Amino acid sequence: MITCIERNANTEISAGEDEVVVKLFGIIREHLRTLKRPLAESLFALFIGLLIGATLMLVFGHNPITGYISMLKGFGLFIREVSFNQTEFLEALAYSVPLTLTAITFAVGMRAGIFNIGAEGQVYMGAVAAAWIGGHLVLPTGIHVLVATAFAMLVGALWALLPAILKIFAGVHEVISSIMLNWIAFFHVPYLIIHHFAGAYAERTAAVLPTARYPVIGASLTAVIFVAIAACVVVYFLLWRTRAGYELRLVGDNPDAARYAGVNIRRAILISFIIGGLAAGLAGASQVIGRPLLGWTLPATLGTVFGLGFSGIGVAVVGRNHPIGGIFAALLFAGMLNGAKFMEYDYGIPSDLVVAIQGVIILALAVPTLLPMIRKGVKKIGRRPK
Amino acid sequence: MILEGITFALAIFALGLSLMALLDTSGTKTPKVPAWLHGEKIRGRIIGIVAIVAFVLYLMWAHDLLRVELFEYTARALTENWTSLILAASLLATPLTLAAVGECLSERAGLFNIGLEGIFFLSVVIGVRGAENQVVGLGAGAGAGAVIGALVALAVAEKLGRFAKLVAAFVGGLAGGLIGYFIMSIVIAGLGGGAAGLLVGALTGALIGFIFSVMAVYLRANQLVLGMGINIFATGMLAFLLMTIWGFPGIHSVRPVLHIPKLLGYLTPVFFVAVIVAIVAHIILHKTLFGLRIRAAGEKPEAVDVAGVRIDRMRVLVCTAGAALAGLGGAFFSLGWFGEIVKEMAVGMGFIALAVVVVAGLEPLLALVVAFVFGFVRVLADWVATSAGISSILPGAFYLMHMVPFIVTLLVVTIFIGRRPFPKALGKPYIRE
Repeated sequence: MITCIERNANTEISAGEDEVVVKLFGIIREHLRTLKRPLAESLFALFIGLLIGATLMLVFGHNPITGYISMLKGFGLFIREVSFNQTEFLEALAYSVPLTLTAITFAVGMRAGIFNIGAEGQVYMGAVAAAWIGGHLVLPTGIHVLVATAFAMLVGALWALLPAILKIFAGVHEVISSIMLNWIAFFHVPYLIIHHFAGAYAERTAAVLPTARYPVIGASLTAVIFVAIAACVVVYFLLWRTRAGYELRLVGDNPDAARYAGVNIRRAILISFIIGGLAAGLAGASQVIGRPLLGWTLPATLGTVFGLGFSGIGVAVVGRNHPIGGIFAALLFAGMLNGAKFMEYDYGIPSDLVVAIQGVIILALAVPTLLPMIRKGVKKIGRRPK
Repeated sequence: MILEGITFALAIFALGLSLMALLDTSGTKTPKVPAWLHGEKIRGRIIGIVAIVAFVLYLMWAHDLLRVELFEYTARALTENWTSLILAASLLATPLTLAAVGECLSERAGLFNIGLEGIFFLSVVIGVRGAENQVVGLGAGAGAGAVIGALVALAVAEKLGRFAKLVAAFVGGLAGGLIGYFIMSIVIAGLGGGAAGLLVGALTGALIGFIFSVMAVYLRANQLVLGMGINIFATGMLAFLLMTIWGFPGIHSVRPVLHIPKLLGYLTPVFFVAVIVAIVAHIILHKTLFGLRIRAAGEKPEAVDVAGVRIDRMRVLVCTAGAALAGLGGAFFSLGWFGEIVKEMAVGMGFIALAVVVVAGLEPLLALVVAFVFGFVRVLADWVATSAGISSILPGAFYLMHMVPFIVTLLVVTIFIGRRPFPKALGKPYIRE
């Protein structure tokens, strides 16, 4: 979003396209107006999560305040030293890339009224596809990255096709089919890695060739972040500025109205699954060809990709099922995950606490009437009993 | 070669069919698929089955299993030493049955809890803690008793005034707490720490189920999001508690004194408990008025409400009890089966339990059978991995057998979706008009 605005600002100076800028600011203003309540709810849920995290720390004998100050280091904010650490911030950005993308999978599904939790399996498939193209095919420099990325996205979408077919034709609930496909991928990919794509080490894929790697920006962040942001913007325009996107959201909001309006519901559902699969496949690729983990490989334990799809659900929930909101929510989650290691290093607070906090945030946001309820509660407390 | 050729032809044919079917969704009025594919529901089911078959063929091909040796080894596996395999299957069948029966009841009442995995994770750790530390066990018993006592007292004193309610809750809580403490101390003294641990695991599950159902029923939270939230929370908590309680990452061995005894090396008392639970659940569900009300609460809550039954309370009660069963299953992993806690021990098991529920079509007795079959497949997979001949010639068999429960679930759902539908009000909060 930010880069998008900057780019537009630059073109305005050079070409003088006033109208575009005016229109863009109109969109932003319109969003800010509708943004207040979701933002307040997300922040409140974050507060609840941090509160429960603090309670857990207190119960097990840690100081929550120093703990959270340590966690802020994950965002690059070194409060004690009063400094900003760029490397850690870039690291947080690197963490956020796959989360942004898997959040799209869930968010687009929710917009179409589909509870698509298949991102996990699609991430594995995308990762192994990228590792195969990147490590076993010899292609020229620029094209290799493109082909590997595109193939990973394609494989992710193919993995999403079966739940889509079952949903559209046989009426199988997508939660059941996508859970099953996640676990099928969990046992499928290790075999592919060990017996087909292994390199020098038996338990890993061959290292991705230099031609298929995204250029490193700093820390473990690579240029793949631009692809991810572009994907978010594209999905945003697709959903809110095209007819197919409007129909998709209509199907999610009110299926009956959509049916009477002559919307092809099956096609809308199919589109949501395919967008989700493409995004999840890209997320998988971003962990193999877009991040120097374990020397640009994918381990058979799936350690570098495990849980990304599930975390994406949390990110999407906090980002209110919006691709742009997802970017900020992903950064929040990523910073927390990155900061967890400082908590462990500085004060011996196990880093997994952060995952538990994220779970609490999701639980809090599952309640649709969170904010009205709080207001009512405050009023009740404020009012004197008659 | 021939085998591979035939499968490839079949796969391409299936892919073509699926593609043709997809073209049909593109919105044009004139159908592009052959006429014989146009019968209402049958067609959808056929397309689904064909797609799954094509998918399975792909998996077999990718796992290098399209070979003659596969049949040879299947035949060999079928003539293996069955008794030990079946006995071993009872180990996995135990937690699966417990969790699946609980989930069957809860789904019948209209609550869809996909947080079974999370319940497993948490009760794995807290159950062991309750077994090792008597104070934790007694505290859990007293706390649970107090909550139950207070709630029962509140329900009884519903018509009374505010002050009377408060007194009732206090007295009920006190009495319940004492009873819980007493029961727990009897369990610890009579059956040992292991049994107390199982009980604490069940209480952990009940607590999660209680929180889940209260949020879903009274706050109308999205049940699927809640379930995923529980799973993620528990994933973090499992590792966090392992590290903070025992100070060692990823693994903790339980003292052998606390292990649940095993007959014949595999059969545990908990397995028989699971069998009894499944039978009792079947009787409650199909032979009692309460069971009728549970089923009706999932199908047509308005009718139950008109009949004067409190839907909200019933859903909370059933879901809490169901989650308690899952918690018992979770504690069984560490105390009854492995005798240790490993971080990855129960990964995926909660989802297999969900698969059991789906395949069983929400029938507790069928859930017992399906859990046993899935447990057997898992044991067979381990047998395949350890028998030298198979693992060197067909290394993919191990991985494919791990997928069998999930593939079977996909097929069963697709085939039977019309015949055994889920309750109509499943996953929807009941809003009184």
